[in-house]
Amino acid sequence: MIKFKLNDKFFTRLKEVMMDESIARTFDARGLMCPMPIVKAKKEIAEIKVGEILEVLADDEGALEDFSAWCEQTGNELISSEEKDDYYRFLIRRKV
Amino acid sequence: MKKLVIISTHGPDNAEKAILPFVAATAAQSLGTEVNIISQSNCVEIVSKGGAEKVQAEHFPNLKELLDLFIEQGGKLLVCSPCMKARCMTEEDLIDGATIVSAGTVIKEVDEADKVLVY
Repeated sequence: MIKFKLNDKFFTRLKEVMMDESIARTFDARGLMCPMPIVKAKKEIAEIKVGEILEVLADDEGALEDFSAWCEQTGNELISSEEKDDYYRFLIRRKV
Repeated sequence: MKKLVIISTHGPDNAEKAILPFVAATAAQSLGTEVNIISQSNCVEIVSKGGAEKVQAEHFPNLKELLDLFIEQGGKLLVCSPCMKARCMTEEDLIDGATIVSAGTVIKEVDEADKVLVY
Protein backbone atom coordinates (compact mmCIF):
# COMPACT_ATOMS: atom_id res chain seq x y z
CA MET A 1 0.00 0.00 0.00
CA ILE A 2 1.33 3.38 -0.97
CA LYS A 3 0.96 6.16 1.53
CA PHE A 4 1.09 9.80 0.56
CA LYS A 5 2.19 12.39 3.01
CA LEU A 6 0.46 15.59 2.07
CA ASN A 7 1.47 18.94 3.30
CA ASP A 8 -1.41 20.37 5.37
CA LYS A 9 -1.66 23.58 3.42
CA PHE A 10 -1.66 21.70 0.15
CA PHE A 11 -4.39 19.39 1.37
CA THR A 12 -6.55 22.25 2.64
CA ARG A 13 -6.15 23.99 -0.68
CA LEU A 14 -6.97 20.82 -2.62
CA LYS A 15 -10.12 20.39 -0.58
CA GLU A 16 -11.14 23.98 -1.28
CA VAL A 17 -10.66 23.59 -4.99
CA MET A 18 -12.60 20.32 -5.07
CA MET A 19 -15.42 21.83 -3.06
CA ASP A 20 -15.64 24.89 -5.25
CA GLU A 21 -16.10 23.39 -8.65
CA SER A 22 -17.94 26.49 -9.66
CA ILE A 23 -14.83 28.68 -9.48
CA ALA A 24 -14.15 29.82 -13.03
CA ARG A 25 -10.81 31.51 -12.37
CA THR A 26 -8.33 32.07 -9.56
CA PHE A 27 -6.39 35.28 -9.10
CA ASP A 28 -3.48 34.89 -6.72
CA ALA A 29 -2.73 38.43 -5.57
CA ARG A 30 -0.47 37.36 -2.72
CA GLY A 31 2.68 39.45 -2.65
CA LEU A 32 1.08 42.35 -4.53
CA MET A 33 1.15 45.74 -2.84
CA CYS A 34 -1.79 48.14 -2.49
CA PRO A 35 -3.59 49.01 -4.80
CA MET A 36 -2.54 46.22 -7.18
CA PRO A 37 -4.93 43.51 -5.87
CA ILE A 38 -8.05 45.54 -6.76
CA VAL A 39 -6.50 47.12 -9.87
CA LYS A 40 -5.65 43.71 -11.30
CA ALA A 41 -8.92 42.15 -10.06
CA LYS A 42 -10.71 44.42 -12.53
CA LYS A 43 -8.79 42.79 -15.39
CA GLU A 44 -9.19 39.29 -13.92
CA ILE A 45 -12.96 39.50 -13.57
CA ALA A 46 -13.21 40.66 -17.17
CA GLU A 47 -11.83 37.23 -18.15
CA ILE A 48 -14.86 35.35 -16.78
CA LYS A 49 -18.50 35.45 -17.83
CA VAL A 50 -21.29 37.22 -15.93
CA GLY A 51 -22.56 34.77 -13.28
CA GLU A 52 -19.22 32.99 -12.93
CA ILE A 53 -17.05 33.08 -9.82
CA LEU A 54 -13.58 34.57 -9.39
CA GLU A 55 -11.51 33.33 -6.46
CA VAL A 56 -9.03 35.89 -5.12
CA LEU A 57 -6.19 35.17 -2.70
CA ALA A 58 -4.56 38.25 -1.17
CA ASP A 59 -2.22 38.97 1.70
CA ASP A 60 -2.24 42.77 1.70
CA GLU A 61 -3.68 43.71 5.10
CA GLY A 62 -6.06 46.22 3.57
CA ALA A 63 -7.55 43.64 1.21
CA LEU A 64 -10.43 42.67 3.52
CA GLU A 65 -11.91 46.17 3.43
CA ASP A 66 -10.74 46.85 -0.11
CA PHE A 67 -12.52 43.93 -1.76
CA SER A 68 -15.72 44.68 0.10
CA ALA A 69 -15.57 48.28 -1.17
CA TRP A 70 -14.52 47.15 -4.63
CA CYS A 71 -17.51 44.81 -4.96
CA GLU A 72 -19.91 47.44 -3.64
CA GLN A 73 -18.67 50.06 -6.10
CA THR A 74 -18.36 47.82 -9.15
CA GLY A 75 -21.65 46.00 -8.59
CA ASN A 76 -20.11 42.54 -8.32
CA GLU A 77 -21.20 40.17 -5.56
CA LEU A 78 -18.87 39.32 -2.70
CA ILE A 79 -20.04 35.78 -1.92
CA SER A 80 -17.57 35.18 0.89
CA SER A 81 -14.41 36.47 2.50
CA GLU A 82 -12.35 34.19 4.70
CA GLU A 83 -9.33 34.89 6.82
CA LYS A 84 -6.74 32.15 6.39
CA ASP A 85 -3.49 31.75 8.34
CA ASP A 86 -1.55 34.29 6.35
CA TYR A 87 -3.85 35.46 3.59
CA TYR A 88 -7.46 36.24 2.72
CA ARG A 89 -9.64 34.31 0.32
CA PHE A 90 -12.52 35.96 -1.51
CA LEU A 91 -15.17 34.49 -3.76
CA ILE A 92 -16.64 37.07 -6.10
CA ARG A 93 -19.46 36.53 -8.56
CA ARG A 94 -19.29 38.64 -11.69
CA LYS A 95 -22.59 40.52 -11.94
CA VAL A 96 -21.84 43.24 -14.48
CA MET B 1 -19.55 57.79 -14.38
CA LYS B 2 -18.13 59.66 -11.40
CA LYS B 3 -15.19 61.93 -12.08
CA LEU B 4 -12.25 62.43 -9.73
CA VAL B 5 -9.51 65.01 -10.20
CA ILE B 6 -6.26 64.54 -8.33
CA ILE B 7 -3.82 67.42 -7.97
CA SER B 8 -0.36 66.01 -7.45
CA THR B 9 2.52 68.28 -6.39
CA HIS B 10 5.31 65.97 -5.25
CA GLY B 11 8.12 64.26 -7.08
CA PRO B 12 11.59 63.11 -6.08
CA ASP B 13 11.38 65.51 -3.07
CA ASN B 14 8.95 63.13 -1.32
CA ALA B 15 8.67 59.67 -2.88
CA GLU B 16 5.76 58.56 -0.71
CA LYS B 17 3.66 61.65 -1.48
CA ALA B 18 4.66 61.34 -5.13
CA ILE B 19 3.41 57.74 -5.38
CA LEU B 20 0.21 58.07 -3.30
CA PRO B 21 -1.76 60.05 -5.93
CA PHE B 22 -1.12 57.28 -8.45
CA VAL B 23 -2.15 54.63 -5.89
CA ALA B 24 -5.41 56.51 -5.31
CA ALA B 25 -5.92 57.11 -9.04
CA THR B 26 -5.53 53.49 -10.14
CA ALA B 27 -7.64 52.28 -7.19
CA ALA B 28 -10.39 54.74 -8.17
CA GLN B 29 -10.23 53.58 -11.80
CA SER B 30 -10.66 49.98 -10.66
CA LEU B 31 -13.81 51.08 -8.80
CA GLY B 32 -15.20 52.52 -12.03
CA THR B 33 -14.34 56.19 -11.54
CA GLU B 34 -12.94 58.41 -14.29
CA VAL B 35 -9.71 60.00 -13.04
CA ASN B 36 -7.62 62.89 -14.30
CA ILE B 37 -4.34 63.86 -12.64
CA ILE B 38 -3.10 67.42 -12.67
CA SER B 39 0.65 67.40 -12.32
CA GLN B 40 2.08 70.52 -10.69
CA SER B 41 5.28 71.65 -8.98
CA ASN B 42 7.76 68.78 -8.44
CA CYS B 43 5.28 66.24 -9.86
CA VAL B 44 6.17 67.42 -13.37
CA GLU B 45 9.51 65.64 -12.94
CA ILE B 46 7.65 62.33 -12.60
CA VAL B 47 5.90 62.76 -15.93
CA SER B 48 9.10 63.55 -17.76
CA LYS B 49 10.69 60.69 -19.71
CA GLY B 50 12.56 58.45 -17.26
CA GLY B 51 11.35 60.52 -14.30
CA ALA B 52 9.03 57.96 -12.68
CA GLU B 53 11.79 55.36 -12.63
CA LYS B 54 13.82 57.56 -10.27
CA VAL B 55 11.15 57.62 -7.56
CA GLN B 56 10.76 54.60 -5.29
CA ALA B 57 9.35 54.06 -1.81
CA GLU B 58 9.42 50.95 0.34
CA HIS B 59 6.10 49.07 0.60
CA PHE B 60 4.68 50.87 -2.43
CA PRO B 61 4.31 49.51 -5.95
CA ASN B 62 6.60 50.64 -8.71
CA LEU B 63 5.62 54.19 -9.76
CA LYS B 64 6.28 53.60 -13.46
CA GLU B 65 3.95 50.59 -13.38
CA LEU B 66 1.22 52.68 -11.68
CA LEU B 67 1.71 55.49 -14.18
CA ASP B 68 1.44 53.11 -17.14
CA LEU B 69 -1.67 51.48 -15.64
CA PHE B 70 -3.23 54.90 -15.08
CA ILE B 71 -2.79 55.89 -18.74
CA GLU B 72 -3.77 52.42 -20.00
CA GLN B 73 -7.07 52.71 -18.12
CA GLY B 74 -7.88 56.00 -19.81
CA GLY B 75 -6.54 58.43 -17.21
CA LYS B 76 -5.64 61.90 -18.44
CA LEU B 77 -2.37 63.43 -17.30
CA LEU B 78 -2.46 67.22 -17.36
CA VAL B 79 0.86 68.97 -16.78
CA CYS B 80 1.28 72.52 -15.50
CA SER B 81 2.90 74.73 -18.13
CA PRO B 82 4.73 77.23 -15.87
CA CYS B 83 5.97 74.39 -13.61
CA MET B 84 7.57 72.84 -16.69
CA LYS B 85 9.16 76.11 -17.78
CA ALA B 86 10.56 76.59 -14.28
CA ARG B 87 12.36 73.26 -14.73
CA CYS B 88 13.51 74.02 -18.29
CA MET B 89 11.27 71.26 -19.64
CA THR B 90 9.60 71.22 -23.05
CA GLU B 91 6.82 69.08 -24.54
CA GLU B 92 9.47 66.71 -25.89
CA ASP B 93 10.57 65.86 -22.34
CA LEU B 94 7.10 64.54 -21.42
CA ILE B 95 6.01 60.92 -21.52
CA ASP B 96 3.38 59.90 -24.09
CA GLY B 97 -0.12 60.56 -22.89
CA ALA B 98 0.71 63.77 -21.00
CA THR B 99 -0.85 67.09 -22.02
CA ILE B 100 0.43 70.56 -21.15
CA VAL B 101 -2.20 72.79 -19.57
CA SER B 102 -2.53 76.19 -17.89
CA ALA B 103 -4.60 77.52 -15.00
CA GLY B 104 -7.83 77.81 -17.00
CA THR B 105 -7.88 74.08 -17.70
CA VAL B 106 -7.04 73.29 -14.07
CA ILE B 107 -10.05 75.28 -12.88
CA LYS B 108 -12.31 73.77 -15.56
CA GLU B 109 -11.25 70.26 -14.49
CA VAL B 110 -11.87 71.03 -10.81
CA ASP B 111 -15.22 72.60 -11.65
CA GLU B 112 -16.36 69.53 -13.62
CA ALA B 113 -15.15 66.95 -11.08
CA ASP B 114 -17.38 65.23 -8.52
CA LYS B 115 -14.47 65.15 -6.07
CA VAL B 116 -10.97 66.63 -5.93
CA LEU B 117 -8.02 65.18 -4.05
CA VAL B 118 -4.88 67.23 -3.42
CA TYR B 119 -1.47 65.76 -2.64
